Formats: sequence, structure tokens, C-alpha cells
Amino acid sequence: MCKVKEQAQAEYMQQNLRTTPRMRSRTKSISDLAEPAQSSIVQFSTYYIYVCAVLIGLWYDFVDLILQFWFGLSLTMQQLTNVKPLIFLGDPFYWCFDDCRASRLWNCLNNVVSSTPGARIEVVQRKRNADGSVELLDTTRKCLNLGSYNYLGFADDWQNTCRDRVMKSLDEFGVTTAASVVSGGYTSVHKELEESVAAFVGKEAAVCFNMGYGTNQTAIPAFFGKGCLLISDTLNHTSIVNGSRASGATIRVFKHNNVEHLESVLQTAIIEGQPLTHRPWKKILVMVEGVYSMEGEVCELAGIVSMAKKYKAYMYVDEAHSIGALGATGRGICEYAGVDPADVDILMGTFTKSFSGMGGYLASSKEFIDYIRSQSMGTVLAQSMSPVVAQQILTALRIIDGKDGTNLGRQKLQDIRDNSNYFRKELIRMGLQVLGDEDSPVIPVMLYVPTKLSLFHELCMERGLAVVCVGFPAVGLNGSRVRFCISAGHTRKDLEDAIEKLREVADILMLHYNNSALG
Amino acid sequence: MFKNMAWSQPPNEDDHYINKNVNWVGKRFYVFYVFVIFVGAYLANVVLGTTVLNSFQVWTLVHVIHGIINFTVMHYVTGVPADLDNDEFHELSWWEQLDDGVAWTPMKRNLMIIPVVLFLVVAYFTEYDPMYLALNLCVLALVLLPKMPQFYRVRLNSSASFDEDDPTHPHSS
Repeated sequence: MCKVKEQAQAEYMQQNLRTTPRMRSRTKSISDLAEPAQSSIVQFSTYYIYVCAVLIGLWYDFVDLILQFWFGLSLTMQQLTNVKPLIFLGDPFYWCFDDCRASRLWNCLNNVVSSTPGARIEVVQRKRNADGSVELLDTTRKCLNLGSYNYLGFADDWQNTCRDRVMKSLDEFGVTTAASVVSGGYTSVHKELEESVAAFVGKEAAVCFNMGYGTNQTAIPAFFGKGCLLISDTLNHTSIVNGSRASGATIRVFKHNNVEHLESVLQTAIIEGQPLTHRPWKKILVMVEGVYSMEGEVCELAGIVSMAKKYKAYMYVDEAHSIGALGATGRGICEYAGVDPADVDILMGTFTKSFSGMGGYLASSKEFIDYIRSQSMGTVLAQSMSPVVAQQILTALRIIDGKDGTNLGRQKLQDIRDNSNYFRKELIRMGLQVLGDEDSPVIPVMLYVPTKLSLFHELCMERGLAVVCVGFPAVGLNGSRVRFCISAGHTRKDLEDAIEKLREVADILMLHYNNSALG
Repeated sequence: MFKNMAWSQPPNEDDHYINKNVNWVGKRFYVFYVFVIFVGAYLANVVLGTTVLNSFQVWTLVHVIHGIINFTVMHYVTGVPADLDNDEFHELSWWEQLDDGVAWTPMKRNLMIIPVVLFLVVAYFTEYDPMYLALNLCVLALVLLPKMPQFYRVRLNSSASFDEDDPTHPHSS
């Protein structure tokens, strides 16, 4: 599987593009939040835009305050300008930033879709009225879907592959279990799903939750508490951060993908012990993700696992974006990085991305999973997964594993790898600044200037591409980007068309940051 | 008196949620800041200085507006424009969030030097006229005092708005 990577890299170097030195060592450059790889002028324009937005918002609030002071609530800025703000509630002075952002990026946020998230998606058109509110129109537009997490294309061929089995289980079990896992919501489908997932990732046992975010949020506090140490990567997802905070354990961070820094954090922690008492830690857990969704980067799992083993810390890998997408047979980051799953203590993943389902799982040794099943609020109090969804995931898993007797799973995995590599290569060849590593299906392209987010979305929608633009505060201030998610359902022709359209959009918006300073 | 000072508490290594509100401050931001002040001064001089106000008043106006914006954005407004931080920074102004509240870091020193240098430049160009100097000095105090570590988490509007059980509050309520 590394051959595709090497070939692509060799070809890319051969093109002799003008790359900044940072571009060549991708894992160390742009993902480090403090160091952008943009020219000063572009960064000045970013600062200028944010300063203007904040000052205009503050001035609006100030005038509103003065008006209320003089006239009472009978005259507010809203009445004066006849424009309703899109966001009403929040902290009085900082909601203005939220409203500034929501008003200016209204076309990127809250898009309504009216079809399955396959390779093509129907987006309901909206328009903005004169008084500021956003209204849905009756027309829809069928666009190429470059934003949904439909990695293996199950949303496209669901009618042929999964429908029969899923509908059968709908008749057998109904839509909901109406109970939590421990109190009656555990059907034979759930049991089979957990056993299949455990066998798929190479662990003894697994437990499934109804919500992917909720898996992290409820499972980490179940096992780790005060006196434990959680060492997590800087760029970990919010669900991991929130779950860690909810647990009450001490949290330290190590620099993204930086094995040396992880070693120093581990050494310091073990030598110093707990904060005030200096007693030894009860447990130390190192938490990383397989593929980081905002950067498209793959984790350096081999180095991190060896470091954790050396200092006898536990390992937790969140494979939300990598299960079913990385690795020759889709077994995730462990297979891709060549790490034995027995070396990673807890493997967590979600079913939303590659399996076209919903929910998450935790896979580990049998004792740990039994403990989690009885102690975690996600299994004790939250409702268990719908049997229909569980059957869908089971069917998808069987296809990926090849157990249904066809070659479809292998074909899908090959397709997504080829598609992502092709798309990434073409974008780099165009001169756009693309983050992330080869083979990852998430492809972020830097826009830097926040006003380009809204215009990029509009131009793409005109040309029939549905994209997801990400800005502050989901990413850093200087890190506005558009994130493409490639799927196995895309054909090569789809991607070629998309590249042509993106070429036009990139020319209009001046996005070739790799070729020149101003793009 | 010193145990409540920001610099005497060891920096908190635990956590952190990277505060995206403040982690972007760097050398380019200072250059941008100074650049904007000079461009603003030049524009004010061109637009207002030749028509409505005399040269002293233009410089003082630039200084006062800079002072008001600086105070509002860095010290008056509290919180973070995102709802992902569990309200950790809800009561902290932008300055107090910078560098996790540790005082006298290089960034903070640079941000303190800029208003002082601006004051000196403005004082020079107004030829130390006492009235303008007094006004500019008041604005400088408004801008510089909240940046002192002695004023960490100090609020001067009313003590009822402060966390009653906050041990870092130096005043008794």
C-alpha cells in the first residue's frame, strides 16, 4: 500500500513545482496552529477583515446601547435598520461576532439537502431577504457531493447492497429498541454487530453506542477519573476533549504527531507524579486519532505506540475517519501503519463515515468491554442503537470484509484510495495549497482569507459542486479552508469535471498559494 | 500581596484546549497593528487635518480612538466567540486569556510597548501642549493600566459582578 504513496510522491516531486519548504514536510508544517505558511499580505488582509468585522459589530452594539439608554426599548438598532440578526441569544458583546460570522457566511451554514448523501446530492436553494432572514425556495439543485462522509459509497448503491437485509430486520425488530443497552435494548443484531466489529478490528470484544460523539463523551469518564492522566494530541476532536474533561482526570497535551514531545511529556509526568501530592498516577492514557478530520493527516501511530509501550502507558485510538477507509482491507490505521492491534489497548471508531450508519464502538479486551458496558452512561442510560441501523452496519461490514462472497468491498476500498490520490494530485498540480497525507480521503485546501469562504461556496454551487467551507472558530484564525471528502461512489469522470470547475474557481479567487505569494 | 499576582502562580501545564481566540498573535500581527495605526493617522491627517481640525487635534484624535478600541477589544469584552470551551474563559478579557494569564511574556511586552511608543510620538507631534498632553496621558493610563499584572481579573465597575468565591480576587468584596 505504500507503493501508491511513493509513486505519487515521486511524480509530484518530478513536476518541479515551486513549493515552499514547509510543503515537503507536510506533517510538521501547516497543522501547527501557530505557524501559517502564507505571505504577509494575505495574512494582513485576514487580520484586517476580522478587525473590521469585530469593530463593526462592536459599533452596532454600542449604538444599540446608546439608543436604549436614551429611548428605552422602544427604539433598537433592529428597528432602525429593519434587519433581523441571524443569531439572537448569547453573551451580549460576543454574540455580535457570531452574528457577524453567520450573516456574512450565511450561504455556507445550514444548507438544507433533500436526497441521500451519495455522489450526487440535492441542495435546496435558499435566498436572503431584505430584512436579513434566510428563506427556503422551492427549487433544488443537484450537485456533485464533495462534502459528505460517504467514504465507501454505500449511500449510492444502498438499494442494491443493503436494502433487503435492512428492511427484513425492520420488520423483525421495528425501528427502535425503546431501552438502553443494559435494560432490554440489546438484541441479537447488536450482539452479532459487536462480535463482528471486534473480529474486524482484531480485538476480543466490542460495545456499540448510539452516537459517535457520545461514545467518547460517555466512555472515557466511565473508566478514567481523578488521579489518572490523559495525554491527548493537540488536534484531537472536541468529543475527546469534552469526554476527558467530564472524567475529572488531569489532561496534558502533546504537540501534534510529535513523538519526541510525547516522550518528554510522558517522562515529566511519570517523574513528577500527580500535581500536588506527587503520588504515582493511577493510569496514563495516550489518546490520538487515526485521521485528523480538519487537516487530513494520518497519525504517526508506530512511533506513538512504541513510546507508549516504552513508558507503559495505555493507548486509545479514535478511528472515526480511518476505519473502513485506510488499510488494504479497510481495517483502519493499525493496518495502514503496520501496528499490531494488540498493542493498542482501546480502539474506538464511528459508523457514520464508512459504514453509512450511525453510532460508535469501542473495542478492547473482554474485561474492559464488560466493565464499560455496565458503567458507561452511554450504555446504561442512553438508548441503544436502532436495530435497523445496526443491521445496516452489519451488512456493510460484511461487504467490506468480503464475507458476502463478492469482490465489492475490495473494489470500494480500491476506489476510494485511487479517487483520493488522484484528486489530491490534481489539486496540488493546480498549485493549490493542500494539507494532509496521501491515502487519506479528507482533502483540505487552504483559503486563508475568510471572505473567500462565502464566495467559494457560491461559485461552487453555481457550477454544481457542494462543498464544505470551514472557518474560525472551528479552525484557527489564519486557517480558513475548504474540506473535500472523496468517496468510492465518485467516478473518475465526476472528479475530472470537478477539477475543471475548481480550476475556474481557483482562477477567479486567486487560490494558487503554492505558486505565488498572493495566490 | 504577591500570591495573587499572575506571574507568581506557576503556568498551568494541564489541559489545554487551545484557545483559538488568542493563539494567533505573533510577529506579523504586531507589524499589522503598527501599520494600521500609521495608515489611520495618515488618512486622518489627509481627510480631517487639512479641513476640519488642526494637526494637534488630529494626532490626539488618532491616539484617543486607538485607546478606546484597544480598551474595548482587549479589556472590556469578555469571553470567546465559540461555544466549545465549556465557558472556561467566560469572565476573562482577551488580555487575560493571552498566554494563559502569565504576565510579562514577549507578546504581552510588545503589546504594552506599542501604546507607549504611540503616546510618545503623539506627544512629540503635539509639541507637549499641556491640554493635549493631559488628555493623551489619561488615555494612556486607560490603555496601559489594565495590562499590568496587578490588574489581572480586577474589575472596577462593581464587585457584585465578580465571582464571589474566586480566590484570585485581590479585593475583599
